[in-house]
Amino acid sequence: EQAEQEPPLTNDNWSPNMPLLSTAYKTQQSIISRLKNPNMRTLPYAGDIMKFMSFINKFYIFFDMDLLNLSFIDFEIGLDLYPVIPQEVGLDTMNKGSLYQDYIPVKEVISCQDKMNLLFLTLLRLLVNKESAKSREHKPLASIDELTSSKKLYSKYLLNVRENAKEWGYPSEWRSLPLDKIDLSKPKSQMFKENDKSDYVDPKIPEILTENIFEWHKNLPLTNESDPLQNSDLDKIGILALAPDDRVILLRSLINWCSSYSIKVHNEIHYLSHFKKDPTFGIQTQHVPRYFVEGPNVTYAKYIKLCEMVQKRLEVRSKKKYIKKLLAEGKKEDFSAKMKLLKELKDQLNSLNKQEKEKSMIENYNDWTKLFEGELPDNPLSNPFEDELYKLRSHEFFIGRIPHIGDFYMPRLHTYSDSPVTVSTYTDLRALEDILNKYSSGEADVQYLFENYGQLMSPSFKLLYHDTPSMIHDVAKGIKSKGKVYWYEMCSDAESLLYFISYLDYKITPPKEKGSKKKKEEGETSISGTHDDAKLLEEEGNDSLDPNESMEIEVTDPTINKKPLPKEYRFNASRLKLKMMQDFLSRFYYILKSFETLRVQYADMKPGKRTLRRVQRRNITYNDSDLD
Amino acid sequence: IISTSWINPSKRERKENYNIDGYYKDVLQTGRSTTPAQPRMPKPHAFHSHQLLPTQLKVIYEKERMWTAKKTGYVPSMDDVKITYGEIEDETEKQQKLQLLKISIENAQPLTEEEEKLKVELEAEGFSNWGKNEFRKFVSSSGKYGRNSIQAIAMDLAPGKTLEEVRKYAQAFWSNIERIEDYEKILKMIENEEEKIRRVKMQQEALRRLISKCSNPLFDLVLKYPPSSNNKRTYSEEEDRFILIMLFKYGLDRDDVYELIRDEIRDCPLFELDFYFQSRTPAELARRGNTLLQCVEKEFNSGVELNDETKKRMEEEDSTGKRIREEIKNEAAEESAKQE
Repeated sequence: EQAEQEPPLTNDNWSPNMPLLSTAYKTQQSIISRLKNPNMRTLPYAGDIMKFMSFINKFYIFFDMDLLNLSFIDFEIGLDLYPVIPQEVGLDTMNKGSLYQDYIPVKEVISCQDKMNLLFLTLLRLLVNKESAKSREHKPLASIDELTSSKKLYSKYLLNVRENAKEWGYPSEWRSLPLDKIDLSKPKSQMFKENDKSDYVDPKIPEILTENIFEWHKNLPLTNESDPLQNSDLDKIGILALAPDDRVILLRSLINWCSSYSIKVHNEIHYLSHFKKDPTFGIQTQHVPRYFVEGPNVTYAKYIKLCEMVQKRLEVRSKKKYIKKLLAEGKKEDFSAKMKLLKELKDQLNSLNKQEKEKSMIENYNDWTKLFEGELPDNPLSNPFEDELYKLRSHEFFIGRIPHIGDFYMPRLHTYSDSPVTVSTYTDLRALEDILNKYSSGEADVQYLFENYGQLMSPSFKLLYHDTPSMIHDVAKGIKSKGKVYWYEMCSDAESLLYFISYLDYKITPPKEKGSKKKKEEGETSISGTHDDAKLLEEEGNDSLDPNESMEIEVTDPTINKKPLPKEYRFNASRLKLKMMQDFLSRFYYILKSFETLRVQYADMKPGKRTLRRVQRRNITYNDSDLD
Repeated sequence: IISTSWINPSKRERKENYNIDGYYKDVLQTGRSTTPAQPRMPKPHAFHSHQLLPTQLKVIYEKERMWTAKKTGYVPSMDDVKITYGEIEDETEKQQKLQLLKISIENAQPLTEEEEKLKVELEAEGFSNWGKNEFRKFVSSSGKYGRNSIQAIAMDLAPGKTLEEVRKYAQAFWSNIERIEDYEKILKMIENEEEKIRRVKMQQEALRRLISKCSNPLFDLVLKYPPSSNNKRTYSEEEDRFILIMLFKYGLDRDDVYELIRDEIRDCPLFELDFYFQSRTPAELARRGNTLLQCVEKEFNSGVELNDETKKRMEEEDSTGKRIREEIKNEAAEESAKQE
């Protein structure tokens, strides 16, 4: 008699995270011009700001609370960086039109600048700090009050950085040999005019191992006069001493240097990369929450499948002879408890139809996961940010990947924290949907945010689009990415988010069949995504137009591309994923809006017990009738 | 600003009162007459094995030495026995001493003219102008560049020795290596170093072939023998592929290759937010690089070696083929000449 086998769990990824693979775009070209809309901006510095935010987010234990609720725009204001309106949109670039201080209260601008200096100071201290912390508690290395403490606050740290920067590796922008002019892989000169071809001095070993000696180009920093790191104003006024571009470069370099040469940070990275276990999907360059990749429905379905498999496993095991024997003897208590629980759960399910069954499984999540214990470490519905195993390589800001288009990110801080935030959107799918529903139904509001320490999270946000396909192709071909931009802003506040959500409709609806147009459509589909397209993209960088579109730009509004995605079958997946992202964003809108309002209404008010009570009693009404 | 090379001047010496005797001391050479110097046993002539002097010279030098001793009327003592014959514990010591005496006394002859001539000839055969330090440098450079890379070795010995001098010495060195003191040790060292160079060359070749097999190495480079699975994996496979591609780009024979790879990782937008990869120092990257190269090497080990052998065979076949062709041509020419 063939005993029934337990279904194996090991060959599948049941974790709440999924790897985000570069190979997905191996054969896909992006169709960036199809995303044109009035709110689209080019962000040459976005990759760096994403890096700053990511670093603060993951290594928050070194940073002060004042830095843990920074938003993307705080970096732009604090470092004086401005998005660029892409030229091809057809508007006059009004980039240098208005400066932040023209329309933002000076107090706020200064506060952002101070936070940049606080970040600067913290990074400097991380580099100097020689002690490796034993505990991994939240211990900031610098606070905002210190910024005013001394005239030469940064001097002694900068001294150390200037001494070592050459060995630590200068950023490419600050080297004396510009990378685009010099190929470092080619020798600068060779020692001997002719390769050594002389007779062998030892005829028994007929080989010349070193025919010539080459000298190579060295990466040397700029001369002292033009090297921003040597700028003496840095010592006095901090990061603002440099030009805006150089501020970004210096902060980026400090983060690079910190991750390699700060004992504290390097140790933390070692800790995060050397756990006893590995993720089930192995070590991948990056991974992201499952519910943003597969969507909520697939994630729940995967969980239900897992419940069924675990149930089967337990039942098969309980029928085994030796287990039966042990159970009869009253041993294996945990297993018998599991079987009891399983029986209860099954009894509940018996009277239900399929849909109700699934609903019940999700509702009784806590009971079901008790059965998972010892079978597998986590499940599709657990919190993707909870297990530190996933922390180092997690892309916390990710919200969606669209085939043939690219990735979307919404950078907001405070993914990991030791503070009492209960309104964080960085949580498991069930809790996330719960929070989003609370806000969309109006059950929760700004005050609720305030009471639950919402101020600890980034109040404003930006939705960024990353042209991953182009980036991956450039890297694979070894094309220098310098001067290329892969980051775009799609919206910068709740209002523009609404616009973007409705704009997505144009892309999601399949193209209509039109007799006269059909031919054109076919012509188009044959071109887009072929080599010609790729070539065009390369020649003109990322601002190239789809060849067809240049012929038939909507005369009505050149700033917006309302064309649907091509009709081809392969774009169905893109439409599907766009729809999924649109659903998420429309639910996200309410809580993001509340965060914005929170910033306006409560500013930096610290929620203490007494103020809290008073605020609740005051019951602020902002109805127009009150305004006499 | 005081430069770091500043050295405090010594204290000014104050004038003492003139002492007439002291003043004229050196000029007049008054004072006691010098005692006649004790005759001394001349030291044995330094004979460095690396100078590759013929052993006959040793005999001549010894003769010379004894003659000098005799000239000064020196009576050898126990110490000289030690110098000449090393430590001897037992009673034969006295006999040794006597022998020594006898020899030096009997050595009434200075070198004959023939011997003098021979001495000059023999000395010309060796390399008495190669000092210990130059020899050491020669040995270490031979390892560093490989024994036949004369241009490179000569560069290291540059101001002291010309390329030709180095070449001549190297030829003599390799044909007479057994005559050199500790030659096994020296040879072992050079061979080990050469092996390292060969290994790098081979890894370079293996890497070249591995990468040329892929149309898009960033995606489809696969190691047949990936790094051992019992070690903790910390790099993703994509990161490993990137390291290999960069090693190929810059070549393995540069000492700054891992600094360059570190910079490439920082500049690569694919790893913008990859803090693990970004945090690797050149030393850490080098460790990973070596692990990966060993895997690449394993994959191509049989292939590369086989290739070298076949290459040789093919060359031989080519040359014999050529020769045969030449012969046929010549024969044909002769035939036609005959016919004419």
